[in-house]
Amino acid sequence: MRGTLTGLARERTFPVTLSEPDEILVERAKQDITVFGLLYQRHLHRIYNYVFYRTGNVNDAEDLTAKTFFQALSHLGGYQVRNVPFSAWLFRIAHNLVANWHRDRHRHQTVPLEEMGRPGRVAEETSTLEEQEQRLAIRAAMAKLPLEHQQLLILKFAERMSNAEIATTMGRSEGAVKAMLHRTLLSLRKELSRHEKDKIR
Amino acid sequence: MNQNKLAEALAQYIDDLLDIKKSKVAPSPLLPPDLQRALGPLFDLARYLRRALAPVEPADAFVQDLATQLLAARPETSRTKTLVRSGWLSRGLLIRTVAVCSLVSAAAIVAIVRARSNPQSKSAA
Repeated sequence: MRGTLTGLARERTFPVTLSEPDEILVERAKQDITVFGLLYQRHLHRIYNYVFYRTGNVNDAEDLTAKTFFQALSHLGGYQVRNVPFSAWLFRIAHNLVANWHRDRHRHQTVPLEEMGRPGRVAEETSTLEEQEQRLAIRAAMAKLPLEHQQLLILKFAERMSNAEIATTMGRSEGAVKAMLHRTLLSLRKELSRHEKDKIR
Repeated sequence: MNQNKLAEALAQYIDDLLDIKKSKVAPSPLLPPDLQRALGPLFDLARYLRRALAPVEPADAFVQDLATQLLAARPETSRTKTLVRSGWLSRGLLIRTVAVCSLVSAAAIVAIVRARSNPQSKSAA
């Protein structure tokens, strides 16, 4: 890791550890950009997961993840911890980049989630054909939901965020997140039964 | 049926489902039968979603490359800020220097413009 951001941050004379809260690391990263490496290490996987499930392919996921961190790095000086937690700020950058990506390429209609290419390393591999079909059907139905509902499902199921974290990230109350989760699952169920009917025809 | 109660019960079930410490999740036995009936299909769907949206890992090469690129792309302004903060430069001195340089540049431009217009007026006279 020597020579990389994280490695350099660890070599600093002042004590910087991974256990430090984001707020402290952000303030130090503003003075010493190599400390940004620890924030990068802490948030990379979540941002990548989010972008991967929103774009549906590894190449764009890598590209937009990189853009998210470059943008965060260049705007770090203007970021105020008291306004929004760092993780929520990062997710907002990623969310805006993905929204622009969808707008620019109109891919949300032509490359739905079920056509995902190399899926990266999935932590929980499913084995049976039936399970794989089920997974594809769910992703196809998900791709037809409004973007905000897709975002909620990814934050909840792929990111495993608490409702409070989702509320901060999406700028809503915790109660509103629970209600939205309920509505989203109902819509998804409708889409799935529509998908099943189409398959029978 | 009360939508808030449904939303609460569903959110609780999903939170339990995604808690990796729990090996088996069952809807609370305290849940009234009408709620259990209404939410049963959504509980199933939540389990499918957990499988369909399993967390993915970025490639190691990508993680390393991006870290290196971020380091190489340190914003230029941060170097000046570091100099200011470390005491090599004072903020006041920096501002004064920039102001003086701007004034000198403006004066030079005015002088050049005047020098160019003067020979013309002399030859015209």
